[in-house]
Amino acid sequence: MAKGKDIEVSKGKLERMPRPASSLADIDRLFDDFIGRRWLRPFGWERPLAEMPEFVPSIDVIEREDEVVVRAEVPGYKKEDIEISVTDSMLTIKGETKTEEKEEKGDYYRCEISHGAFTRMVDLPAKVDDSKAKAAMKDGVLELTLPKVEKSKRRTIAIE
Amino acid sequence: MKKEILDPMDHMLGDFFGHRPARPAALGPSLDVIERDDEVVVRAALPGVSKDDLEVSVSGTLLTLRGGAKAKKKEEEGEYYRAEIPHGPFERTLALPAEVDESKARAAMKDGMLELTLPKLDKAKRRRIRID
Repeated sequence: MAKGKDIEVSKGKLERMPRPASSLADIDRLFDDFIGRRWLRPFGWERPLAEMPEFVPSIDVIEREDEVVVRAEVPGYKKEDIEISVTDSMLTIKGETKTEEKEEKGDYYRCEISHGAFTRMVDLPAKVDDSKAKAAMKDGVLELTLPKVEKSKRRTIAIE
Repeated sequence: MKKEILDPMDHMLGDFFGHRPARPAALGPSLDVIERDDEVVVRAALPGVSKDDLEVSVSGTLLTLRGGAKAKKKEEEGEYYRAEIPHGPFERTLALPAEVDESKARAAMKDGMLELTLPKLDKAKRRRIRID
């Protein structure tokens, strides 16, 4: 990665902040600590691996007349790293970076992205036919198209 | 129309078992910042963001990532049963560990990950001190 110059990096118009960068970084960190984690733990207990949060992809599920579309954000994962399985109306997405994690040269100044294994299960709004399912990956987003089985297709009921 | 359907029970259980996004979307993309002797590497998780819809700028030791503004808000056919993926513009500014030369910066996007390589300014390069 980072071989070409695909994206232009421009000089920002922002004036330099009058205070030293280190204090700004500290504020940023404090803010992250406060906003990013605390409010998600209403009961105040610490998760055992709080320093390295488990990655769980965000998911959209869209129900159409005769299919269910599922989108999952899996940045940094390749299609070989993802395993998808369906049982009736339960979808399981598993991910694992199979490529050996190479030792990073340098010091981590900030580490928020986790690349480990994950499992995410979601219930679908209808029973789907897994044999006709389609899956595609683009820009770190997995998109699944799952046709519904005949009997769970939506029917419109006319009011007489 | 996009509907936010949030199952409270699922959310509670999800929270309990740690099944939740690592970082709330409102705070912008997740980042790794790695400091090497003469460069700073920044990685950002930007799933679904195209490189034309991303603006990277550097000012002193502040790096700003902006994007998502051009993403078309096309009407989604069907009903949202679950909506967790954030849509719309995002912005994040962070402090870098050293001053960098933005004219020599390199950037690449792959699998929804942005990787920026920012060479440090000469004066910001790390020097090792030998103990005599």
